[in-house]
Amino acid sequence: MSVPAKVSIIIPVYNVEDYLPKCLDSCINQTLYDIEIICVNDGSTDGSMRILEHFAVIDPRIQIIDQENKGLASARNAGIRVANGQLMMFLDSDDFLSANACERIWLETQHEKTDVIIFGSEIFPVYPEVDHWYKETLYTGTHRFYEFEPYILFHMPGGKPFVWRQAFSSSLLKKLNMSFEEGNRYGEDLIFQFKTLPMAKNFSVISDRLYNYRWYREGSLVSKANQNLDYKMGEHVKMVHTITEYWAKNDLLDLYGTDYYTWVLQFMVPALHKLKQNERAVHAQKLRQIIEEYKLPDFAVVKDMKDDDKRLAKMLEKM
Amino acid sequence: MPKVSIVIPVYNVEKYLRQCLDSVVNQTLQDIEIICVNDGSKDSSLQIMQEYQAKDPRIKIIDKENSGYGASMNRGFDAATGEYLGIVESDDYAEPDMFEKLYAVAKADDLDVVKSGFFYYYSKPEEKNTPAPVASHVMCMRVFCPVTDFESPMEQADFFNIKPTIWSAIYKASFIRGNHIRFNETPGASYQDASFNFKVWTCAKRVRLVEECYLHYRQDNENSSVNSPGKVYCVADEYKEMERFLKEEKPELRGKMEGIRCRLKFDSYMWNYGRLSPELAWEFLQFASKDFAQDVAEGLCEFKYYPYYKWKAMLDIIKDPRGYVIQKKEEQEKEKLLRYSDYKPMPPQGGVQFNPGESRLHRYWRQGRECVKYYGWSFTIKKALRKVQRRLFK
Repeated sequence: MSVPAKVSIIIPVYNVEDYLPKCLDSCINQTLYDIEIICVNDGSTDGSMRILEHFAVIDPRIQIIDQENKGLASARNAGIRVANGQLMMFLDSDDFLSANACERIWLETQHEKTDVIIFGSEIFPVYPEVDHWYKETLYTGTHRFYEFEPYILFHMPGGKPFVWRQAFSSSLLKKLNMSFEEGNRYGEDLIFQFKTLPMAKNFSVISDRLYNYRWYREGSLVSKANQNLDYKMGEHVKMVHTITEYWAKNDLLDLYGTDYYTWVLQFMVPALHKLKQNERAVHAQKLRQIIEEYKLPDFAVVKDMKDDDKRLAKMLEKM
Repeated sequence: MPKVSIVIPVYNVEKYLRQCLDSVVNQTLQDIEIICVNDGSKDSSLQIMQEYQAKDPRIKIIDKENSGYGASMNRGFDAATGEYLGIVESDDYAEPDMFEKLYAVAKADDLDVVKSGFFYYYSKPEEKNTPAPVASHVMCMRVFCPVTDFESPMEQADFFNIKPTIWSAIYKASFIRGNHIRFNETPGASYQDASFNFKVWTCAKRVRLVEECYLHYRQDNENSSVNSPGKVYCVADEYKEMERFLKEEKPELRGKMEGIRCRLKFDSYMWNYGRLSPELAWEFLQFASKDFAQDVAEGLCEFKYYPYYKWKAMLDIIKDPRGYVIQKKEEQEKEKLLRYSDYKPMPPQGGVQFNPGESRLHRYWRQGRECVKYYGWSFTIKKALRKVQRRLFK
């Protein structure tokens, strides 16, 4: 038995020597002292590792894990395995935290037992002008939930899709044996949330902006994938498959079938519609197979669905 | 000059004293001094000590009239000649390498205080040691000053709130004497460790925590002071003593430390309130209410050291203690009801509910009716068929 640190911050690092010092600076200057900083070097080919070693000398709270390049999900998993704090946060190596982030989050758990804390974030750089979508999704209000409600995952702006805007109690993650899906190179955040949030009980949503998100970066993995729509769709279909499989296994479809089916349609069909005819058919076919295999429409209450969503379902059949 | 002076306050502990003295005499650190302060024991404790003294010249015995734990500790500390001071209570015992390890850490960084973890020791029904480290390994990495080195107020309050296990640490003798840190000389053994602990943390400039556990803290001594709820008002004396110390000895730290003192006071009063019988508790709450009101009137309490609900509870108690008791009771009842309502059927999103003592057929019938009510016939029939299908073909 040992006393866990208050917060563990898990940072996957891959070729970010330009941004890493600022990120680590923000961690070691937190107002809360009792934190663990776990950096997972995912086989960087530039000077990132040297920077990490340099910082580890300055501050003994920094732990370095060195591994071959296996992807973001695997790096975060390695971090989760080592982390020993009461709370777990995920920080991307090109972003940074505000100075009171850990303190604020830890205080939130002192008042009441809390499994998941969702907090707001600031977006930078301001130039080129910030995409409107980011402004909308990164807003959070102030709420408290004592039980999981589909609203949190499907409709609340804080629910999706980034894992770094949520802090999880590590007892929850350990109990569920949660990890990131290593097979999916894209959207592992979303899968993680669809797995974890329905299993959690106490949610706290705070409007403080504690995280600073770099929304635009040249040569980032995300922007590369955005260019190739076909590849992106393929990954999305894979992602939906993983989530549906998990939800069916854990009887979540019984409880939230309508919301889930609606989400799948809204998430996939408009995006499929943007593709070219010949590319579209392949992905639509796969998606229809998934929906049939897990009988999503059976779990949903079609009566409650909006007309728009029903139309989406019909569109998918014709694609 | 011996490296460590170990002070052992002794009062009616013939059952446990041998184990304690054995563990101290057999320390791997040889250059120590053992000061046993006999606080007017009525049993054979004194004979046992003399027996050990005959074998080991490092043991000194101070024999005095019964005057309480605080007075014995002060006598012991005054008589000590060592570089560092340690305490081992006479019903506990230490690991053989405790003082060697702690002394090495203290010497390496020239520290005022080194504090380690301890074991909860149960001798009945079978021997059991549960380790209880002081802090996380992150906190144990650095040398720090408890007054200035915490940036976050709540974390600081959290640190001061650590159990005052003064006997799992060693203190530099010059530091204790230079800052006039003494025990509160109240009769008996009654929470004197609280004020001593607070004074130490307030004055210390260089502190280090050690994650390893060394001392075995006996849990099943019937005579132990922790088990007597009659002493609640002694707690108040301790907090008065802390206030006096801050006023007279450390006026420059008063602005910083009073807020924390009030927070600690609130926590310990509420802990005591919780374990008293209802009549005593009500009396004590009235007393606490006046005490808190005085602190607030003097402007000593600071919001930043309290979680919101504790701050609110404190204000409630000041305003209307009777109201607070009633409110607390209502909350408890509500909680019970809530717990019961977990088993009651709830609106549609709730999913499957179980009523205790209900037969399976009855449950299906009820769920079916609810399902029809909320989702309509067609969905219910589909769902029922699917359930039957699953039962038959899996």
